[in-house]
Amino acid sequence: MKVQKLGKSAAVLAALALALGGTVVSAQAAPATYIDCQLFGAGEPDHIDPALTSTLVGANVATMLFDGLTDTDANGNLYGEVASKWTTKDGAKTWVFTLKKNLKFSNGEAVLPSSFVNGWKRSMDSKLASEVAYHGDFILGMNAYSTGKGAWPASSVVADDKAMTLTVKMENPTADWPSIVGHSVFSPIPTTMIGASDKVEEDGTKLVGNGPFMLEKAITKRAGGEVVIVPNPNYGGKASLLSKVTFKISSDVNAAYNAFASGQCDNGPIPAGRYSELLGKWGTKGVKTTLGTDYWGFNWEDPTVGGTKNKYLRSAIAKAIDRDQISSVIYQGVRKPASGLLPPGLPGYKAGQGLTSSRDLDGAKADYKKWLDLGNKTPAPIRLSYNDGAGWDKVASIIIANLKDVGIPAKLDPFPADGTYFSKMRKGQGQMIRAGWFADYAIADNFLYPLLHSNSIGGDNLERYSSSTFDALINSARSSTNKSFAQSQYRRAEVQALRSDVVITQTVNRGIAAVLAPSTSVFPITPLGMIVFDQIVKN
Amino acid sequence: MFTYTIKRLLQSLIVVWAAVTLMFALFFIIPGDPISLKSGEKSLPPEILDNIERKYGLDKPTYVQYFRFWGNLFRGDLGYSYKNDKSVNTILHDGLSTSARLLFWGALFQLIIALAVGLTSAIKRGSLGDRLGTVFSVGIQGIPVFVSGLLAQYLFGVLPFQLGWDWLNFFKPWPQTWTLGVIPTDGWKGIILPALVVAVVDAAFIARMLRSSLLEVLRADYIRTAFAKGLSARRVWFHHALRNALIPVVTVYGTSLIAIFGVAVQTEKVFSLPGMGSTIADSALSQDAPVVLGLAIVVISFGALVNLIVDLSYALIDPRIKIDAKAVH
Repeated sequence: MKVQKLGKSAAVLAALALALGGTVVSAQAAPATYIDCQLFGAGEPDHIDPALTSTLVGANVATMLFDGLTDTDANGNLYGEVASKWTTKDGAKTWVFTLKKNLKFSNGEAVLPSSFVNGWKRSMDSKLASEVAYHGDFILGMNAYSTGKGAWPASSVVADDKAMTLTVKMENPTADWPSIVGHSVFSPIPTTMIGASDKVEEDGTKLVGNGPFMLEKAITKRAGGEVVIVPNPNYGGKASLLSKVTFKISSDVNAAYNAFASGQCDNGPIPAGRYSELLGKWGTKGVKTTLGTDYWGFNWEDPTVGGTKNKYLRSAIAKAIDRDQISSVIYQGVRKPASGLLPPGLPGYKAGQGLTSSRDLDGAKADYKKWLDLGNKTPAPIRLSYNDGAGWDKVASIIIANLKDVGIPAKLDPFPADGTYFSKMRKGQGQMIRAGWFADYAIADNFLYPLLHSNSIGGDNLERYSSSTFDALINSARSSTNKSFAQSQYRRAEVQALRSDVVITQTVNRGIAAVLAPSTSVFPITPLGMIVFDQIVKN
Repeated sequence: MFTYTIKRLLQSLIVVWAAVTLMFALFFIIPGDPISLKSGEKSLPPEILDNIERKYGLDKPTYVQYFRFWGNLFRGDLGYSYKNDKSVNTILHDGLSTSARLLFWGALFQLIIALAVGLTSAIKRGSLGDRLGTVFSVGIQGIPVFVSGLLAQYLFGVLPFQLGWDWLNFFKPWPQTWTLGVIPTDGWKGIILPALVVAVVDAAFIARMLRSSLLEVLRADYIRTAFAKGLSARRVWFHHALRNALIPVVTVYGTSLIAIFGVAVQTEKVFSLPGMGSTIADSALSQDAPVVLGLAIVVISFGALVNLIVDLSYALIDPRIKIDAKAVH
């Protein structure tokens, strides 16, 4: 009896509470606002300050708050954002940018060439210790400043606020500088932000930019927190169609998706392994191939797979890999099979630069036989090295099965998920190395130089690949102002590494995939993986 | 009693110091370092890594860092996150309130569920309710929080939204405004699922404990005497039996409050609540030592405090139990 009475009371209370709760929830909905659960669906951003953020998601918000000299549009085309034009002299060693007039920061201050000098001075300051300060190393004398060994290179970055020009002198000829300078680390700042600390973003009134949005309030960079941006009333470009964008921070992709699927957000991330199911359910408007490539490299110094003498073993492995299977089984088509290191959408991209883009089992067997005929014996299982805990074991398992079909023994070689994988690979501890790259700027050099040039050994050249032919091609491309010549040299270099030397073999191109509520009719994403929130159209 | 309390407090301080020192040491023993973790897929030039190390004082010898940590701690400064430069004091301030609210509601739900299930099972022993209680107790304990949390989100969030049953959609954002510290003034629905997920894990265990304890007490001579004296069943159960049966349950409940912290870590992560639990989990994975150490001080202190309160509460629940200071000496 008592239990029954309690049950009735509880039911009445529950009904009352539900009614109240329903009222609160419906009151939260408002038109033209956008709630994003996708961007920070897998965790908190490091920063949204353009001088400090080193993550794609952090940079995405930074680019909504700050406009740089140039940017890349949703079609991958470079355009002037604050700069109206740019010219070079001295064989791409000096660049002069002419800035648009009458542009303002959200606090009403004018955007001048000196705003860029102030911004760069802050972001490259060794005391700020930005992880992305090294992007400034293209500028003459900037490395000394950013490492605390020298003064600000005033003669390398010269602002003329009257003429509205910014002159930049480069360390070496840099034909791609207009693309590079679009990186968020090169954002301008108003005078109120001169010398601002790394905590300026925590006060919404102090992180002042010139982008289409501004911070509405202090941000909470933690799971459960949010970043809220509203249109910049002084913005000089096309105004956003949204009156507010709220970025919800989640610490779990599944929970972020569930938040979307239960009506809390306008978009959401897709948990691993559910691409087909959820894109089938919500549509593919939020899917875009981006400028990134996954690949497996061969340790150039390894006696079994490295060096010129083992080229046939490497080519046998490259031909044996079933990229379609990796794409369909692991990524359910969101990451497409790659045909080279440079991804589609990158200026100068040419398909089919790799040794092969589809499985060639007969070719693999023939190459393996050639390698054995050179006096080699069946090797000990080749180690497929990868960082554990990120799902790479599934990709490696497919490759091991692919290699088994050719008769090449291979095994999993997981490295602990403690963040030390890449540093171990850099020291040559891997054999067949899981790797990937996402473009910082939409240029071929951003892939080929850091990943394969001998100057990058100990850095991102995980394979410790050293080829004088490759280096010469890259060096000539870097110093040329002739675009078509440079492009041809980069293509030749790609072929040299992927076909002639087979030091790496590509698997899939990276992509972004978000699920969108039916109310989102336009959801533009740039090839650099940036969602253009000011151009989102919500019905 | 006073001497005992002081002694226990001093013991607790030593426990906190030892635990934090151990954790500090562990950060230097485990492979990898937080600054290298920053570079990830893309390497950072050594000069940039040097800048970052200088900024956080990681270029100094370990013992200097250790003494500097305690020096700063005594000044009330817990340092800054390696990951996003946020003040650990601010992280604690923000996270503590969320975690405390989650713990409050989780503990309250736990108590209500445990009492309801435990009492029903004991009083109606062998009934359908008792059997269901047993199944509930055994079943719920075996489900990991990340499963029960996601399942709850689906059953009381995703599914109702898709069916248009918003009245059943309890998966809502965590409330932003509160009154009296723990009463949400907006979107109260947001507390239901996380608090229930926190509650049910140990509620089942406490319910079983209460049932066993009650059944044992109900077999005691003085209960039979009480019935023989003609006291009402309600008075016997609640005044004589429950009060005595609660003693072992309070011990378990106190321990479970500490265990709830562990459950809350996962619950906050699964529900993306801005509490200390999710911060500990994320910070530990990224070796964000200042945040982990700062939060550890709070968690360990909380554990020590709860243990102390449980010990002292025995005397309040059962007057036969007295803390004898001399005996302690």
